[in-house]
Amino acid sequence: MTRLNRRLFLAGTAAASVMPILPAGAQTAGMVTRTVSGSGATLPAVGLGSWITFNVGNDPVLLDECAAVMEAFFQAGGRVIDSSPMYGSSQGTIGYGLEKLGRSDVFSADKVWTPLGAEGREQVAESRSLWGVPNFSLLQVHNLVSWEDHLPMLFQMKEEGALSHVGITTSHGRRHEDFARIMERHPLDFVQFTYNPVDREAESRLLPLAAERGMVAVINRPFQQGQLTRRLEGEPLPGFAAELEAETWAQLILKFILSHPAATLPIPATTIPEHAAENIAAASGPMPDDAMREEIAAAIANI
Amino acid sequence: METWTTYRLQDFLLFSERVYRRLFEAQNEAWWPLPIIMTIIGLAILAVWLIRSSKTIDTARQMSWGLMIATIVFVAVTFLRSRYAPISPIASVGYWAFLGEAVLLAFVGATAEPVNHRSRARLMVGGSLAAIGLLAYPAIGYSRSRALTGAEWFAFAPDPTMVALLGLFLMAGACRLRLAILMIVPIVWLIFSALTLRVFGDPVSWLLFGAIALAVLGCLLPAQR
Ligand SMILES: NC(=O)c1ccc[n+]([C@@H]2O[C@H](COP(=O)([O-])OP(=O)(O)OC[C@H]3O[C@@H](n4cnc5c(N)ncnc54)[C@H](OP(=O)(O)O)[C@@H]3O)[C@@H](O)[C@H]2O)c1
Repeated sequence: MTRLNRRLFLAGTAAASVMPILPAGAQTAGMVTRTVSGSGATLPAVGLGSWITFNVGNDPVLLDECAAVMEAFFQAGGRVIDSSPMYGSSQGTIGYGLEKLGRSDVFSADKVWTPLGAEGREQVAESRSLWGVPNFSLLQVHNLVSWEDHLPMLFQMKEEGALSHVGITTSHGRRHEDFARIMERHPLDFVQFTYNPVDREAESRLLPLAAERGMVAVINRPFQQGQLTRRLEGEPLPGFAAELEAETWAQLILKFILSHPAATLPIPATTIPEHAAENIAAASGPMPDDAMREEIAAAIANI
Repeated sequence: METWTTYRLQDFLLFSERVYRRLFEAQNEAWWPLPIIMTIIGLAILAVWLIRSSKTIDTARQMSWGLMIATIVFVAVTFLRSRYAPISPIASVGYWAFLGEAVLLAFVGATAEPVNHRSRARLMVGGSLAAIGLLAYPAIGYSRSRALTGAEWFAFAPDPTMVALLGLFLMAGACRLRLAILMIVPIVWLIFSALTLRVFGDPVSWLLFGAIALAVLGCLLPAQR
């Protein structure tokens, strides 16, 4: 076996699978996908976040710029878009983009975020009208806020057929103990937390637990809100990046995340259409093995 | 508690600097060239408060409060509610606070006392603040964006309007208590704005902190000679 063969996994191994059908115009051949165990839904393994980037109010120029990001994302084969009622006007921006692009195949991942349990359903209805979707593909309890009230409500919505998947979120290592306990006790489809080559706390408990429980691990802040990509900007890529067909640090980071044995699904946010396409492209081509993952982390730590 | 200590200032800001700057561009483009005309009117108001009292000047001073009330309401409706609130829940609170300030100004007024013996020090501090709001803001904005529509203008953007308003309050020579009550909304708003600019690493935040400090200092100075 050559060094390359030994050290690289082709996309399509471990928790990943390969997209069965290639939609017209999409460049998804060989793209890492995630299959949700409960529903069998298959999704491209890189999604799109909307925190800050899509909170543009009613400015028509900025709304069109966001729609262009969404267009590049869809054209590259992306489907999962994540938002929350907490993100200002982001939900409305996504709704604007979906309507402008005429896309109904989005995997709509939104959240419930209200301290008042009784307001959950109302908030979901409002979010749905902002997105302009008949039902959400996924609803997550944002940062575990009033999860005791919202989780039963979401499971009930799922039972009624008004929702496809249920999840919970946290970020930056917050409340991992509570988070793990909820993962152990509830049949969640998705869980969302922070993970990247610098913030690796999730490796100790949440990622193995997600793998064990068959939950898709949506990964927020893959670039530390852009701090990581900014820090690495202009720095030469390590030699092994070429072996992974990673052309940028962003792709190397995403490949690090995607190659974890759990079914990870990073959702980087961006304001730049080229970045959206570049991020999706990271889900294709060779993936690093354990040793190379450590090399990626070490290379980043040394800069 | 452990959770809250892990948050940073920027975690509370939901929008990017680019989106923030676009708010002012879009506002100016929608109303151009009124920002320039309102600045000229603002400078006339400043002059009215700087020169010696006379019957005509006193009437003009009374009228200037009417204009300032209209200006505050205008900024609240056209900027805070229509543009800023969709991206920031704090701006929605600001909208109501600005309306409250306008009502307060209408009912409490800023010049109940005789204003013939206003302290020179307060006049200077107040005049400087008004000049910052009316002139420094557009100058800074222009020097950065090379376009007049890229600047924040008195009567069209909240910060220069509130800085100029603080200046006028000081120049009006009201007693400390009245002044303190009237200054709450502008100062709290400017603190919020200064913190927002801090997150963006914008040095104008220091200008705002300086303006707030000047306003507080001016308030502590004696109202009359
Ligand atoms: N508790 C929660 O539920 C929670 C918490 C945090 C985040 N989230 C979700 O997770 C998403 C992702 O997290 P995040 O937005 O905080 O941070 P992030 O995705 O780690 O970073 C976003 C930043 O990365 C930059 N970026 C993206 N692609 C890039 C590329 N290819 N090259 C260089 N720079 C690139 C973007 O800048 P450019 O615009 O210049 O590309 C943007 O500023 C959020 O948008 C949100 O949907 C959820």
